[in-house]
Amino acid sequence: MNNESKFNLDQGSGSYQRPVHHREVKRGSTVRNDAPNASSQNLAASKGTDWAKNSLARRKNS
Amino acid sequence: MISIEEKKAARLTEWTVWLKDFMDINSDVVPIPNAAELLNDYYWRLALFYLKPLLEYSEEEKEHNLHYYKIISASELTIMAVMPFKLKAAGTEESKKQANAEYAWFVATSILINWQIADNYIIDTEKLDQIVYEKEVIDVIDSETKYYPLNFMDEHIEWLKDLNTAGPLPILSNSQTWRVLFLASKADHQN
Repeated sequence: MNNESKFNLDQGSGSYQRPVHHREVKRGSTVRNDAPNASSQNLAASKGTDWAKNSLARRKNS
Repeated sequence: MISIEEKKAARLTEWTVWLKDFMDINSDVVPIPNAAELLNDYYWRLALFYLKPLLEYSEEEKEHNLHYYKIISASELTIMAVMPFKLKAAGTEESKKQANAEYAWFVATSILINWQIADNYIIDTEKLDQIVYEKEVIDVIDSETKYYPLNFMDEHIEWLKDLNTAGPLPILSNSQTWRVLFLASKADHQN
């Protein structure tokens, strides 16, 4: 599979204006200090995957 | 600070676990060769070269960590672009898209539920249950109550299934969808 061909970074016309969004977390804020980096989390832990499995089982049975 | 290579390695492990765990509940699919590596490669290119350049941050900020809304959004769109699962038996393209859209939901909700801030999970799963399975009232006609036809989960999976991944991906609007879901979980659901 050539994923590169699907990865469309080219906005084409040249008239595209890059949107600028607010910083998600302000530097030095409490939230930034508390919010751990994604790499320090276990995003595949069973708490989440168990709920996800149950939700899809419920969808299948509905 | 954790290096980008360490981050990529950690996410690769998670993609591998998510692929394996999803097959526990769907025996009709099998992953394509090198599925975890393809997902991880696509995800990081999306995050680093498409998403992060859209975000504003100060010059002294050496690195800008993505928060979970955007991680979830980028992960879902990565899945629909890579299509890591194929059907074991002959089936329609529609069926394959549906299976992959369900996998995207699986990964998205796993991230949301596992995310912690200061050692506390950010979302109450009981509240999440209330939100994603509900069909809300949209009208009353001749004393007959009309409900929205799909719950949030089913509608989101349908949206993913029909997504056109050949053009610019709606990462930010999808991110906002997950933010609204999170905010809804914080609302008082007593009528």
